Amino acid sequence: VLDQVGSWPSEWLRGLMELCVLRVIADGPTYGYAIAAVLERAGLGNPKGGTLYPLLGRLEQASWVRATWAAGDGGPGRKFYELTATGRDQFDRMRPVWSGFAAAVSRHLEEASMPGEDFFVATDPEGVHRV
Amino acid sequence: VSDKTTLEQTLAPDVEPAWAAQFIVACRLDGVPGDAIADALAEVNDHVRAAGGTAKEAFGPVASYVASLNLPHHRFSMREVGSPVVVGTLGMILVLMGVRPLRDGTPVGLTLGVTLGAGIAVAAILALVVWLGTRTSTTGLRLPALGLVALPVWLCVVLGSALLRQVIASVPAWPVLLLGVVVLGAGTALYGRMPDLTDPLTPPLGRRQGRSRALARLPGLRWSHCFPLLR
Repeated sequence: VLDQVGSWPSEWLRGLMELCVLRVIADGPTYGYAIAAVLERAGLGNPKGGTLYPLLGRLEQASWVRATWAAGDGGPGRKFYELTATGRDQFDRMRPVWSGFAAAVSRHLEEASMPGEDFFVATDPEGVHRV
Repeated sequence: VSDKTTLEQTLAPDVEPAWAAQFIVACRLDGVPGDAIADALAEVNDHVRAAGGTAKEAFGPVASYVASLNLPHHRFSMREVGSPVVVGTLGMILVLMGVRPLRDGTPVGLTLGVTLGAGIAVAAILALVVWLGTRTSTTGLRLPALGLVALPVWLCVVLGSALLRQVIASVPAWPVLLLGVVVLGAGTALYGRMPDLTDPLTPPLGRRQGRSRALARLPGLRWSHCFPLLR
């Protein structure tokens, strides 16, 4: 299922990363690297810092997450993110939407025949299209 | 930040110094406030420290990472920055004019040169304040050109005050001194509200916030603005 470099297609990840990150933060206050590690363990690839932190910044600017600094494992400090009430509402709203969308895509990809066959052009053994 | 260590070592000891230095320069050129730069760099450091590897591997080229962060930008009002200096200086001049005559029990003699000079100076200052008020940053501000305009104005004020010494009016000393103290107080109050132009890069956990940061500036405020009174 994975593409040639061993990760999900980046177009898919770009669209879904926000929801996946909200899911991790919904479990409680956490920090950037821990979010990346959880996503990797969940089989969602290993998001680079250059992708993850701008996303966290956008979530903070949208007031979906709140950030606070605390002492980390040495260094100048560690920034912890937690969901705000707005962020939790947004996550609770988006999760069923995604589930519905994913189910629709799966149905679409796996069902053998689709209603509305009249839309398709049949091809005879000689390769000639006939309506 | 200690002079013995570089900014990069203090803010991001686990990040390649070259990457951290480029990050700071890129943010400064983009007008990002010091606190926001320090926060972003500290977060890069925490990630690199936990994940291993280099900042370049995890965050990519500095320029594109800075652009993707959408960090805030300074929006200094030049009027906000210039007004304390102008009002404070005017207060100092009035206080200096009033102190000696009050001590000697004589009125303040307004000479033709001082009156003309004050008129020119006030007009020039007002023009400058109004002009600066239309700007939102110092980018593109031609300071040498500004100096070339200010120098003849200043020479007119000084030479006029020195040469045109006939007294055209006398004013009691105490109103001049009182007005000076009031204007000086107004200048000091404006200074207290002025944004911190030094804008240092301090680690997120070692930072004074809001009121305590303003209070830290009080010693400098007291000495610079009370100097004419102490003389």
